[in-house]
Amino acid sequence: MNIPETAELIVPIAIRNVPIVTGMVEQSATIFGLDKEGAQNLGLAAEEVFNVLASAARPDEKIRIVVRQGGYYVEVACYFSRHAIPITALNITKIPDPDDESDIENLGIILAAKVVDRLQLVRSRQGEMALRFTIERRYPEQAIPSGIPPAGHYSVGEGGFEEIKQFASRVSGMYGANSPGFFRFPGKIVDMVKSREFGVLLALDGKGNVGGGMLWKWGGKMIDSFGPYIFTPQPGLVGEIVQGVLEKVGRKGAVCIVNRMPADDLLRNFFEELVESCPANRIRTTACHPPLYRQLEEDTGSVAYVHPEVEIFVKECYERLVLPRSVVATTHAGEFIEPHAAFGVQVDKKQNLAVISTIVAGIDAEEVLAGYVASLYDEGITRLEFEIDLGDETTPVLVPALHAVGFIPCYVLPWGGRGDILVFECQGPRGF
Amino acid sequence: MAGSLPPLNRLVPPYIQKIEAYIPSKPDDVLKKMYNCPFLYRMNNNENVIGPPEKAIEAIMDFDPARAAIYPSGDGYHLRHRLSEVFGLPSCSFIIGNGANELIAFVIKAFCWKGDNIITSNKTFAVYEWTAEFSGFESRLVPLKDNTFDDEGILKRIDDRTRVIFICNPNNPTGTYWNEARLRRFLERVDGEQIVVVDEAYAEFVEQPDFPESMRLIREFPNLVVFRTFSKIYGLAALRIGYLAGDRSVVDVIRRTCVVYSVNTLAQEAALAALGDDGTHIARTRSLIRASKEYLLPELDRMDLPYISGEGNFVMIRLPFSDTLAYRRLMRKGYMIRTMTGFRFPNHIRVTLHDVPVMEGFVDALRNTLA
Repeated sequence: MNIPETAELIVPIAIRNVPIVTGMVEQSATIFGLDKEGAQNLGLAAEEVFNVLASAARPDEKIRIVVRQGGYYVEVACYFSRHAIPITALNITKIPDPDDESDIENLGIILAAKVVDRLQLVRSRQGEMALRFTIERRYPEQAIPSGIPPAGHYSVGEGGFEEIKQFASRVSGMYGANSPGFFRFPGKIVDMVKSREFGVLLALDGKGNVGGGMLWKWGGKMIDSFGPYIFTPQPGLVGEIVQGVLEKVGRKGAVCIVNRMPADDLLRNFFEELVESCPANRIRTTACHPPLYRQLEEDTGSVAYVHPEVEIFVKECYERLVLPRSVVATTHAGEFIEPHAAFGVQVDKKQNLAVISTIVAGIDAEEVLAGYVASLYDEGITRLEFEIDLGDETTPVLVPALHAVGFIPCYVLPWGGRGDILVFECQGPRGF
Repeated sequence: MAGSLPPLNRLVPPYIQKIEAYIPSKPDDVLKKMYNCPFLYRMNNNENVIGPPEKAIEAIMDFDPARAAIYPSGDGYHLRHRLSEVFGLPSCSFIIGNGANELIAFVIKAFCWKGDNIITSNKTFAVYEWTAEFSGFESRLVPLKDNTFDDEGILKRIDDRTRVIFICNPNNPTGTYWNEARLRRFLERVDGEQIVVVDEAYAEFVEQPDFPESMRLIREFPNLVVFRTFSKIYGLAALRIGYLAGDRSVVDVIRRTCVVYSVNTLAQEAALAALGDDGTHIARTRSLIRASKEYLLPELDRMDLPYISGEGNFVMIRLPFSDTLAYRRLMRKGYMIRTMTGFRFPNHIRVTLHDVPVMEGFVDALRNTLA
């Protein structure tokens, strides 16, 4: 029997539909491979989120709920119109005020966020709002192979599932904290690759041994890569692996590839150092963490909308990176701005990193951002970054709010969003 | 907006959803402004820097603007008949297309249906692979061997769902080619079971005597389809015109998928005139390419830059850093090269050969870029 990869439900956003939504999510999650606890948690999160949305929704609005089998996870995506829910109800990290009864509903999203692995508010290509949350399948850690693989002639190839597992174990064993945590779960890496959300290229000797490799995550315009990890001292192997990866991804329509934890210096022969683009980095005491970067296509230019407070910084970055950009300084001339801001947050607890981005630029941005910073620091997250999409002319207005809350510009990530991304780093909470 | 957006997630086929649109380069005047360069030499598209043959230029100059109001010949009637005279095949053995890209789509549409596949190389002109994939068909990519199409590798990948095999000869971007004996052996092994397309976009640049006379081979191998273009040596790239030739029964099938009237009158007349050139244009072009290579290759040796230089009006150079970074640095200096990551040759650039004074400027710019 072929199991479908998605299940979909469209219902009015009304409290009476909570059991239908919860039941559908739990059943789908079970069919899609989550264990009982995982399916129940996903159902619980769906219930909490739907309750919040239903209590805030305007009458006669509908929601589309899509449960998707992602191989190593199950995702629930709730799509609704931009105007169906007040923006303030989507303020994910806002701490509810227990004395304010109207604020109690927000607790639902907080609860949902606690039982899932990821929860994210995004704006879809079609302009809909989407609240997405996922629970990953549980995988056992596996023993790390001892010693290095035998010498021999290794050449690059995709490898089978056993070789992928061996690769993951060796990365975890040899690189430890200098590699992403998911390598500790070889079965998960296999499912990540099977899901086609990730790709892998290995150095293989044809006798079942893995001498190194690289993993990457497809992601539309930007690809995230991990490695190259090398377990055997074969000359030229790093270059072969990196070149092989670039050959795999170069014709797939992505604009760029980044590497946030480069595992070998030779990667710099193929990638660019964005840190060199960051003039302020030389005089700052805290290091920002720009990824290694590589364009996959010819850069034929774009327009960057910037706030005057960061115009010089951005122009210096472009000059250093030899990027053709028309920099347009934007100022607020009294035009309408949404009263309430909303932000998306991606949290990587293992790296103590939170990346905040704009969903809606609103007048209360400073207050909302201050709340985000406070609650993220409370959660023990010490590295906070904010990404402004310079291809979106509505976002430069946020820069004064960012400065006020303690963010300073750090580097430019070309083509990281609709246009280039200006990454800010938080220097610490102000006034808390 | 009158209504809501259509449900694109459901309307768009899965194989289209996973494709990112190809964004062509911006026009030269815009690029010059973006990169703030004083001049711009196009070294990215392998255009003929000499331009079209004299007779084609005359045909373009003599074109009566009033004829712009009249539809063109829907199937390139006069041009097909002229090609028939040139190659000794019946006029119905030719299809005129709006560049080779359109012809690739015609062939794939004519022979492939759900579940079928095409075979080509992993490091060649991208449009065979792209057209198959956005039409919902599998592209089987056989790695080049010694930078050349791997005949044995291709034969091994054929199965009963393989419909078309695309061979780029000479190959873009390596410039390597199969000689007549090798192409003949391959066609014999295929034994008429698949359509074999040989794309000869750069054929007129080749001076080697063993280069196949593919048009003649069509009589022996009715499954052979040959592509040619007026965009390269004939210098008519802006007019978008190319053609295919094959056995009349095969071409009759391909014609069923043709979009007629897609080739404009000016293009048809310029192409017709280009074929009337007495050989001077091709000889001039070849001479320029030879001189350009004789200058460039030793300079690359001096810079310790490996390169692949075969047939055609281009050379591919390996750099010690990212080709896309090299593109930006060279654009600043006025030289627009083609990055090769998209051709699965990362850290390589492909350079269209110009006359020696331009190449001297390019070499200076390249040397500065490396410093």
